[in-house]
Amino acid sequence: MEKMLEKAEQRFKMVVDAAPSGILMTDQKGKITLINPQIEKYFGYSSDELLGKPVEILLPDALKNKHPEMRDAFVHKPSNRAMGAGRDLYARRKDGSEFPVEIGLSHITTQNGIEILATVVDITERKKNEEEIKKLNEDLEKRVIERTQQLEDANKELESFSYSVSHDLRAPLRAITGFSAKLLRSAEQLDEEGKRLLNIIIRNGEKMGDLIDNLLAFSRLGRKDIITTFIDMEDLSRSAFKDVTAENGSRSVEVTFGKLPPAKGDFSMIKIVLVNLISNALKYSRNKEKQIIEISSKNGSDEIVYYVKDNGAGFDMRYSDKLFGVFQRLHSEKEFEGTGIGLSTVQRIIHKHGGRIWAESQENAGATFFFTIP
Amino acid sequence: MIPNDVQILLVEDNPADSELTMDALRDRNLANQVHHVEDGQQAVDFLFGQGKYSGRNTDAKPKLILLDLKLPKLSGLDVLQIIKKDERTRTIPVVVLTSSREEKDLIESYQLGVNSYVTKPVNFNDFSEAVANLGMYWLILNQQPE
Repeated sequence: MEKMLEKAEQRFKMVVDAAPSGILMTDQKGKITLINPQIEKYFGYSSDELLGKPVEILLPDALKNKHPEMRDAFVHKPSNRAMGAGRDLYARRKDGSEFPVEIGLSHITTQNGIEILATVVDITERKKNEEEIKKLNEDLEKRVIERTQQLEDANKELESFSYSVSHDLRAPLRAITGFSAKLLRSAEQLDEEGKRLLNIIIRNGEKMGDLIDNLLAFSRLGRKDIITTFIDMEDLSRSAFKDVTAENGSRSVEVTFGKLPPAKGDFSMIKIVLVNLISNALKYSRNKEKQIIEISSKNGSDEIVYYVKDNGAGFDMRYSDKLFGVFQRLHSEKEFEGTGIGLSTVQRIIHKHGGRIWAESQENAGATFFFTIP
Repeated sequence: MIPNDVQILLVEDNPADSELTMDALRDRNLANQVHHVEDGQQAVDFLFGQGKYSGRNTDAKPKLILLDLKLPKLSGLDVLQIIKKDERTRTIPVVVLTSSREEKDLIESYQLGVNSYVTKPVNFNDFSEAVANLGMYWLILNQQPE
């Protein structure tokens, strides 16, 4: 019997000694009754120096006076818990230095009454790692702020660039077309050829003016935020059609407005889409005896697909990927004038709305432009 | 010579633009009483009778100021702010006549109290017509306090 007890005691000691954390027991009054080698290592005391001593010698000065009270409270209402949850705990070595610790508390009832069992882990290393992570995070944050600043600067630069383009490029153009027109007006000495040449200068100057304006509008789109409202697509299609025909002078056009359910999007941007698609439809069908335009929608798999259809010149589907590129054109300037910015603008708006745009056509059999606004 | 009988003050640094503007005004017989200055400071000096315009009768206010935005020394927006802040000049109609289509300029001009904002068209006929219409409207149709 005694031998068995002794064996159990030995086993217990082996477990305590081999534990990777420090283990320490005190009685109800806070006297240290047991420590393992890990505690000796942490604190720099030998077991002789600690056994029988109040546990407070292991605490930093700041805590020493308050501790007996807290210890009493624990004895009266013992529980198994972590000590000082949410707070940083420090312990004090023999040489007076302090180190961060994590302490778990539990209690055992023996014939001597309640004894308190504390497991102590030195978390110096972990703290250091946490600090490191914190620092890395702060660095990262700082870098993000720096990058954002750089992006904002670049954006501002671009803005002031487009500002100069808007102002400084248009002024000399106005001089070119203006003085050419002046010359043309007061030109008795000019022969027909001279007048023709001046007119070419004027036309091209004006065309460049249009190009600049369109490019600016296109780049401005990128900076503009979408203001979403409900849009009566039928209403908007009709007014867009009216705007375009008013501008182009009317020819008999057979236009039909089909079912056009309301959409959710930016009113003025979607209007630009419709105006562009309708004016394209009119432009490319103007050589037909009868222009037929259809503005309508159909049901896609789980979305509404709006479309603008014409019976005009159409295009070769082999080049359909070029349709929406800036400055890309599928017709010569002689056949159909244009800047090559309209459809890129349309595509940009639709993409900004998260929608899709595509076209189907056959040469000389008309084209249909489809788009969705989710 | 200090000009006193000025109906239109044209503030424009670009010689081509100012010539085309004068041409357009001449077409409508409005060019006689135009005074042309080439930067913002000169415009302010003219209006307040200071600098090289000291001694000018500042009670004789122009009926219209045509103001470019991009100007040497004081910018058009600076000039506009000075004009609209001072009681002596506040009632003079100011029309910004500029190449800039920037929303920013437009908004700022109106916030400073501009009476009208016109973008110079690149097309010569459109430009002439715009200038001539401005002159006719502000000098002949528009009523101003004496």
